[in-house]
Amino acid sequence: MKGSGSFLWLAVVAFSALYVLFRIWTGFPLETNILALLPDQTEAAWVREAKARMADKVAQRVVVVVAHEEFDKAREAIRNIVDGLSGDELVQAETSVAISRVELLISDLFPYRAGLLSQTDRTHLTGGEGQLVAEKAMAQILSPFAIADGAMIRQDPFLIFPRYLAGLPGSSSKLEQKEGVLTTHAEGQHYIVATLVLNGEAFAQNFQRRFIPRFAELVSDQKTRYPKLNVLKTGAIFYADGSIRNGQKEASTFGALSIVGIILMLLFIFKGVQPIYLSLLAIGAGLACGMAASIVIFGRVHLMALVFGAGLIGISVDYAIHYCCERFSREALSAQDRLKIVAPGLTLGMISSVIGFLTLAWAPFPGLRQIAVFSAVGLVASYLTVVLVFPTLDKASMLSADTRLFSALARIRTLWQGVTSNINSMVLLAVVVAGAGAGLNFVKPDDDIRKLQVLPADLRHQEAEIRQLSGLDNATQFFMISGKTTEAVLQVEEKVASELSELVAQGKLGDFSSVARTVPSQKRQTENRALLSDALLKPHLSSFLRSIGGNSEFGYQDAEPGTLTPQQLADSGGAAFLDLLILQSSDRAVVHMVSLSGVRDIPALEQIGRDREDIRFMDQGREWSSVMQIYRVRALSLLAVAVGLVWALLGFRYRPLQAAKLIAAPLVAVVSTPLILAAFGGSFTFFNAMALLLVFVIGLDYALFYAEAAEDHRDISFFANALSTLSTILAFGLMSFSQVYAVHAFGITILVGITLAFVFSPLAARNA
Amino acid sequence: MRTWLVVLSLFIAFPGLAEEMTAEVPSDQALTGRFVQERHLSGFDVPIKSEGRFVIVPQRGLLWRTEKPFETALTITPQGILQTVAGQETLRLPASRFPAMGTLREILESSLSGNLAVLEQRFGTKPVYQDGQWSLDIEPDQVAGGLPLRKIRLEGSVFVDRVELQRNGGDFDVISFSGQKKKALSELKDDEIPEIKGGS
Repeated sequence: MKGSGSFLWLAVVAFSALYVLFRIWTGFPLETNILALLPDQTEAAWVREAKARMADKVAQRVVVVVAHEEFDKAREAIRNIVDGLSGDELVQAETSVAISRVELLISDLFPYRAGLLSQTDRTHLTGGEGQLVAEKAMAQILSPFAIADGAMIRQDPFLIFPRYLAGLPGSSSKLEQKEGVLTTHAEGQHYIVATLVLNGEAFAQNFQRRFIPRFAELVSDQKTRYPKLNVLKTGAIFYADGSIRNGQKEASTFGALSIVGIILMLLFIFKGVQPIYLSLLAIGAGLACGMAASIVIFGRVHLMALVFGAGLIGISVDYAIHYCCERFSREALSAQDRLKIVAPGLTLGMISSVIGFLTLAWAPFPGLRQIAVFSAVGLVASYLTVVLVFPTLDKASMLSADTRLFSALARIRTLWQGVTSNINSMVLLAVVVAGAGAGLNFVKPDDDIRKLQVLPADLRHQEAEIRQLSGLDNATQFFMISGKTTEAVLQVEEKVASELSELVAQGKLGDFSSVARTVPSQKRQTENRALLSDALLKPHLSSFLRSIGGNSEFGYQDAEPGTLTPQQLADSGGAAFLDLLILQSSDRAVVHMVSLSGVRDIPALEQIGRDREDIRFMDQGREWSSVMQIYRVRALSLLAVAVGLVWALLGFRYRPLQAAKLIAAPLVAVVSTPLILAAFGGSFTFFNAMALLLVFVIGLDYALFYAEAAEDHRDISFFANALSTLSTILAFGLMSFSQVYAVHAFGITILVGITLAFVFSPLAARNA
Repeated sequence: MRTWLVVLSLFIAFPGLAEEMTAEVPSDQALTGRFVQERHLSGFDVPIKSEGRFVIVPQRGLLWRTEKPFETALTITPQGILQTVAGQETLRLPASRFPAMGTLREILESSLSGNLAVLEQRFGTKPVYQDGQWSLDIEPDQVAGGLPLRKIRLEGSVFVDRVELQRNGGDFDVISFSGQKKKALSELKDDEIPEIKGGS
């Protein structure tokens, strides 16, 4: 019976592991966007969906910039790189640089010119100033610097189309179109910018493995050919690859050190390999099941869940160690006996930990929910592995204890003999809590989003340089507009645009970009056509043509009578830039984005469409900075809730005062750790708060294991706690040396907190 | 547009090519005069004629003031380009949109100081002299920037007197200059000073 349960469970674990490996291979759904951690209940479904689509679109893009003293060489280099990539079908061929997209766009738009008016012309014509528009056209025609040629003037005597083009979004970019590429010139260097769309998933490892080496090879080929060539790049695929390599580097150093440390420790104590593979089995089962559950439930795994989920290792290995330490017990003759002795402590520890983690899921924060599910499922899996599988695999015999170790540990235990009475420990707790209250002022909260920045610095510099070169300031503010049809959305965009134009005129906004600015709504195009005819052509065309020596065949007769739609432009491939603005376009719903640049007055922007469901102003920068604070506060309050819930649960087994004493040990560690860290100048971030939760959960395990041990068994229980502490310190303490702040904060908090929790754990001893 | 500017400013202020014909304009002086422009557009029966005055001040800018058929002015300075119709601003572009402005200024200055070497280096062709007159032909691909021009022909004596610009698509412009005069800056009236006020 036990055996079949064991195999069944092992099959579940193996299946989970295979599933996770399969997902990693086909494109691990790793979520790195910090916004995904925000509460999701406050956002309408269309907003969430549009955000996800936007993230996907951006992720599929790669920007490559080459720089050389000579334009021709820069152009040759970028062509070779792009042709190499599209030749291998790594990027979509139509995104190659060697095209005059603007010319394509112009030839698509020109036939519809009668319905396309620049903002200024529209204002003049609406205000009855047709004469002024005519004079502007005349001034343009007379200018010795005129660009318009005879053919253009014959078809558009008032030159409304060139003025409309000049007013198009993007005309404020520093980049200029030259010989089929986008280029800029600075400090003696010619820069050429190419935007490419990947032909595979940016986060898929198998695609990364094809793309990254090929890209590197093409770049180094060009650098060999043109030694003075400089190449900059940015894109999610480079970041994904970079953070994986960064993570791998740290993980391989710290991981190897901690695993070697733990293995040496286990070998030294148990003089055999069995505890090692039992521990690895418990850890592996926890990670595989936790990750599989996260992927199945949430579709993707957030980076933060993964970082925190590593904390699982600390708890899983404790379960294994406590089981294995029973080999020192004189009463436990068989594997089943060992399990019987540790089972009550393990079960209570597991239930209380799961409750602790599940309180995280209480809040409507997707990130915390993922951490909760990952950890709770993982813990249950590790527990089941110990309970179901260990006794079947465990063929080891009893061990005699190393008396020197036990007596050294006994000294720590006796520290607390004076305070084992309930009253004394309550007094101790009160003193610590009061001290913590007094020390609260010294703890500096810190919610700087940059602390989260785990991306490689080199790539961030390249991205900043590309932004600066292209003149595209990356405003993290934008509007999203939804509607049932494209026409409806375009009309709303035009309303928003008129308000935005006012802000631009007042200097509160640099510029904005929308689909409707390139392709107005059909309603607007029809209005424009009527306006042009009534306010300009009827009163002024014939006299204007006379004054420039034209004849009556000139004009707008050949203009398309119909209206242009964004779809027509998209079909002809002339408006790739619109693709980024169209977030969704289906029969069900349409969502467009209005991007902003040069934002100088956020409150003014917030007022636009404030009372409308279909207009949303987004401010990512602020969301990012507040999310850390919200999370820090939320993590702390959930920790308080967890303490309360666990106390209530323990009330089923212990008397209330006894339960309070049990909780006292981990609580003392939780409260004093931030103070100790603050004393050494450390600040308090969300990561410290999350680590404290782990300190509480693990520390409570120590207390429970100790409390559940019979009086003559406490030495073994405390010994197991000591080994657990050592392994936790090996696993997390090393993290405090990490270059990544989040990982460092996490590691140092656990290092200090767990040491305290261990030292205080004998407080939990039950009085006879 | 900026390449036009380069070429045109150069010709208006062209100080004469042979040593005996120099009419150097020092930086504290301006060159003023009148122009008549005939624009021949393909498909049009008659050329579009305009005339007016111009002012060029080395290192400061160019003013192209059309008087007929109606009042319009174009000012080009290191800050940018400004066009007005009957005193009302109709076009304003900052120089930052046109990094090649620096090149323009360099050419302006060298041409004003009669520096033949720079011009020969730029265009590669040498002037032809005949009866106290000279002429110079420039092929567009000799001019940096890829102008939409097929050919530029300059003719002059002391100053540049006539410019012919042949564009792609069969259009061409003929600009004649007359009454060129060097003036001290203090002699210029307020509306003759090429400068762009306000804005950015």
